[in-house]
Amino acid sequence: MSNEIKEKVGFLDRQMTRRQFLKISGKSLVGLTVAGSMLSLFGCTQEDIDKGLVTTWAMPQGLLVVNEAKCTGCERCELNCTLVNDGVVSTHIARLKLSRNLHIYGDKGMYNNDFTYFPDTCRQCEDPWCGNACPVQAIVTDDRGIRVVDEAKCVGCGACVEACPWHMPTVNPETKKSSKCIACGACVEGCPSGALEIVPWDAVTAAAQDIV
Amino acid sequence: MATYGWAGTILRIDLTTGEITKESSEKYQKYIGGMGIGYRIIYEDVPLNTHPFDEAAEIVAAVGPLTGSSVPCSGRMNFSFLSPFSRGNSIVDAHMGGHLGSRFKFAGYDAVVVRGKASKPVYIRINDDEVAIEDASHIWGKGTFDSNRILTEELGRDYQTASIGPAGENLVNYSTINTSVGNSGGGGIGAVMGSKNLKAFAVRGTGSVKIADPLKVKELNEYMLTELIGGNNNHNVPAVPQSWAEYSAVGGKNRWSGAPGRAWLKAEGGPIDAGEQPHYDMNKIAYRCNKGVFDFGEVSLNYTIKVGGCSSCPIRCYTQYDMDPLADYDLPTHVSNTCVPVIYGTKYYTNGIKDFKYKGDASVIINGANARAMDDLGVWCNYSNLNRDFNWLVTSGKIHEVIPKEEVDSLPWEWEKNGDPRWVVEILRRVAYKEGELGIGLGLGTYEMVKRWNLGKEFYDREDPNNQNITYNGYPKHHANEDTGQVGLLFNLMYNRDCMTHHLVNVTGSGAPYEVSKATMEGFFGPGCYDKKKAFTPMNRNKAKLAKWAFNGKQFHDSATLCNWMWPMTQSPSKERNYVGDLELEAKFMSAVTGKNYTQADVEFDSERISHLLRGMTAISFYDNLGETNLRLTHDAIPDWIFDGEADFEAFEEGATKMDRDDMNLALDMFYEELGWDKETGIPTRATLEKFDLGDLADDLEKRGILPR
Amino acid sequence: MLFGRRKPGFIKVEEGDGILEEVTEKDLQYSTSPKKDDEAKVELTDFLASLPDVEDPYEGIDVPEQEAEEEEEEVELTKAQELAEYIRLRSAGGEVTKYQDLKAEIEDLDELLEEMKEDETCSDITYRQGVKDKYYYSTSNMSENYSMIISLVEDKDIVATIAKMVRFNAKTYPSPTPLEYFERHPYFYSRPQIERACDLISSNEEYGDIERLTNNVGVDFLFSNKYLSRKYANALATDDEFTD
Repeated sequence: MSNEIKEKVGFLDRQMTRRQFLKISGKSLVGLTVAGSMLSLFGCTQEDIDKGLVTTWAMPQGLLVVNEAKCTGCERCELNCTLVNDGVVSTHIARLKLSRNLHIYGDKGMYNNDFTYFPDTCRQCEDPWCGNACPVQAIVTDDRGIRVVDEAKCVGCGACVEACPWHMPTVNPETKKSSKCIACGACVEGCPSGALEIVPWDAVTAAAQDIV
Repeated sequence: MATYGWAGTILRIDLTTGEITKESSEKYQKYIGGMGIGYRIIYEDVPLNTHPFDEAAEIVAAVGPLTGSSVPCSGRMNFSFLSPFSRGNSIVDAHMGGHLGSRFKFAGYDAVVVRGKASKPVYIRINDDEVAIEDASHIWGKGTFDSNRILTEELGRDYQTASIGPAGENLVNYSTINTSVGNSGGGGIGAVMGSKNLKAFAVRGTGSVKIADPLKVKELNEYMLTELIGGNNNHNVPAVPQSWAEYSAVGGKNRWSGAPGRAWLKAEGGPIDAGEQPHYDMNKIAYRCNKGVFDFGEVSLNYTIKVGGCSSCPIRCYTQYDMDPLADYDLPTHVSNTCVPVIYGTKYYTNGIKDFKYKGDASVIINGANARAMDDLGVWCNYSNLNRDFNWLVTSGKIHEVIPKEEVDSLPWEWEKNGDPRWVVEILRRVAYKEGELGIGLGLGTYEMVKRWNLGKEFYDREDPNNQNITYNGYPKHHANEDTGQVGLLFNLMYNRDCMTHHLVNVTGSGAPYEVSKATMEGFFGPGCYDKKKAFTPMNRNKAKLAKWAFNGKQFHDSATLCNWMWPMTQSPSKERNYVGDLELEAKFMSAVTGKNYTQADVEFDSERISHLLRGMTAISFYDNLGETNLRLTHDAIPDWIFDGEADFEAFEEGATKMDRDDMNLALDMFYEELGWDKETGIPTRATLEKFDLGDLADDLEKRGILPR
Repeated sequence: MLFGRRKPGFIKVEEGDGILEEVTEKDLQYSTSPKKDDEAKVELTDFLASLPDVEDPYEGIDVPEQEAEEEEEEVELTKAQELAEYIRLRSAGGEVTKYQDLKAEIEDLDELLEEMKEDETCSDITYRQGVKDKYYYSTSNMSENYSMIISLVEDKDIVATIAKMVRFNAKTYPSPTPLEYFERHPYFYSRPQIERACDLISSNEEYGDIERLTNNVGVDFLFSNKYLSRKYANALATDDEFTD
């Protein structure tokens, strides 16, 4: 981030941008036109967006941009997620879901003669289905504003898994505790194709202000 | 019980009785996993004179402590079984990438041992603790793509599957097991599964691989991914100049082929350019390998959607295509492959091939048809011996001697002449269904084919681009003397199929300047070990040590499991490291994952145990099945063309790849000495076997009178 | 913290946005299927502004981006340092910076370059003397050999570039150079350009050491016989049966 941009983008601007993008968090950008400065920031084309390949998630540290055209299905996101958060390695309990989408993914996936792999990530809902469904209020907001599972309270009932429309939380069969994405960024950091990318809010704000 | 690294359990399934049992894998952990566990279990369970298709024969599907551990390039798995196709019918492996291997671990198993024969077609379903032998009659007869799809649709998309095709069902020696993405294992595994009426494996694992020191593993992963890993085959310089790199592979033939201006042109949403991929940038590694450009040149980009590969591997060596011209022939257009199925398909066309849509795309499209058909039918090519044997049969005119005239005339030769992609599909179909003398003969594999058609010893000895046989046992060389002189030739002789050892071709083919690679290699293995390309020097002791390192190291990779196309980390793309890799990274990962303290010497010692097991089992098979008592003179015999080819050159002249007979005899002497094998017979001594806790193997050799005195 | 308690199982997203239609079970599982394209498209930022406000779960939380590391007191850059930063950025993008281009923009360029030499924070900035210009780059962001290549390319003398690189490759690797090498990044010469240059090379005594050969599969190469014999160059250029 250059100093120039930093000077122009203040704390309030950042907050504003984030509030704007929260409105469409987890939704595909299909149907929208996106200015050149923003496209280059997201590393995608308008055609990617038109085809529904690009989805954004508002996270505390920036805008998570997911581009399925770039995903090569290596599962490093899932492996890194569990290595960092669980100290073990697994695809099933990973907080983002790629491997279950490799072969059959709606009308796409290998078996539909398609090489689409989609790394599905937690929407970080403003009004979270998982948290609302938890009978023991084990899903709480941490000091970064992220909903996390309080393992001391979690009874592993799976209500959160069922309630989440995308079934993103997972009850770990070994610990009997649920886990969900805590926005740690390990998946993004280790993505070898940049299919997952977190763009800092400053940069998003600067690009947005260029347009306005 | 699960331990760090290992899942802790071996699953045993008897398809005759339906009995399913579990036992601890602990006593096998000194064999590491994968190939090592497979060899030991088969050695203990199966008399080596058992026919590979007999009920008593076993398949050991196994993974190792590093499989699914997040260590980069740890997605492969191994099947061990008795070879149906090569001379002596001894122990071999099928090695397969993809996503299935790690699922065995997540489900809780280091190995699955299958014996017996089901009374009707079945598949093995593993869902964590729940293991079942399921009816497969609805998928029997189907191609692998349909079988895998149907199983996944029925069982749910959390399952990973691998299936045999018609070739395996029909007991064709040249047969594979395949995943949905083009990963396959060969060596005749398809027929061995077919002989058991076993169509497929379907595995779902919700558990985890336990890691002793997760922080250390993460740190080592990042170290490897920023400082050590290169492109495919771990080539450490890019094929095309990049601004951060001092060197590039001038010839352009190198597998770090992603470059600015090279884009996946059929990507969803428009072209994705590979750009530059500085070695320190972890988020661009997937753009380094573009196997399509390596195989066919930039014309392949017109059909490229993206790249793919195995679980955990950032080097995406599979190119994934939509080859739309194939639709005009009612053939599937989606192709995903990396290996020989997508390279030598053009060998079936003796009159050449014609372009389809773009200049130079003929080879792309024909190979796409070949790869897709091979994978669907589950046909194996024996590292393209199938393609070469077919080409030879037609171009030599021999086809008219060994195949009945009506059958020759029944082939759609018009398709061959016109470069029609259906031609190769038709040949492969005949092989998969054992149709006619051609289908039967080719599908038996080179060794049995030579016997059936009385082609004689001269078939192996002739100098001909179609002859790549490196022994008289029925398999070709896989990076041998043409790459590293005596060193490469030595480890090519050791197995019962093509060796698939890439330790050295990864260095020689890297494209780095000779002096740079030489400094690295001599730093590790001493002076004189590493010759200039096609400018070999006579044998010396350090070359023997280098060959032994590569031979043992391959066993480690198929046991751990790590991909031998990427590992070991011999060179580095980093100028700051003087391009020197880190050979001890294997031990560092083994320690961090398993919590046991491994030095690199420990890793090599355990790997060498597997080398001796391979060699002892081979000696027993050759004695029991052929009555032979000397591996040096039989199993390790080298065909004449290696010494007598290249008439314009003398051995050791600049430009020559041929070898010298006396020098090669010296090479074998030194290599056997380094391994502690008898120089006369090439069989391990009792002292050597006991040093590696293989006293029982020494006893077995002694019983047969073939233990060296 | 308690969230607004929505009834579980009632699955719907915010209404009234027109574009983000009601989410069906299928969309929820596979939310990437392209939407209908019949309405006029809306610009992203306008669209965002038109949506009703939502609660910011991260309210008041400002996660420092790279600030934490960069908090060391911000030093005012000198003009020379700013110029160095500019050269570095271009180097990172694979570009050298031409002296003449800078001269056209910066009046006191020579003083700044002198100043840069004295400034140890700029010790990575250096240049290559080409035939037509001086090419500045940062050794932190560009390799030495690449700076040679890109300077040759910038000089726009194809004959000199090809001759120099053919000799360099024969000496360094050692390797003959396929003509295709010059069709790729960063040269991107056309085949006719390359062939014209080859003609000039073969008719110029100065380049007498540069020979041409065609390999077994019809690919053309150049090599310098100062470093490679013809026989050896031929063998190295051969496309072997087995390369996989």
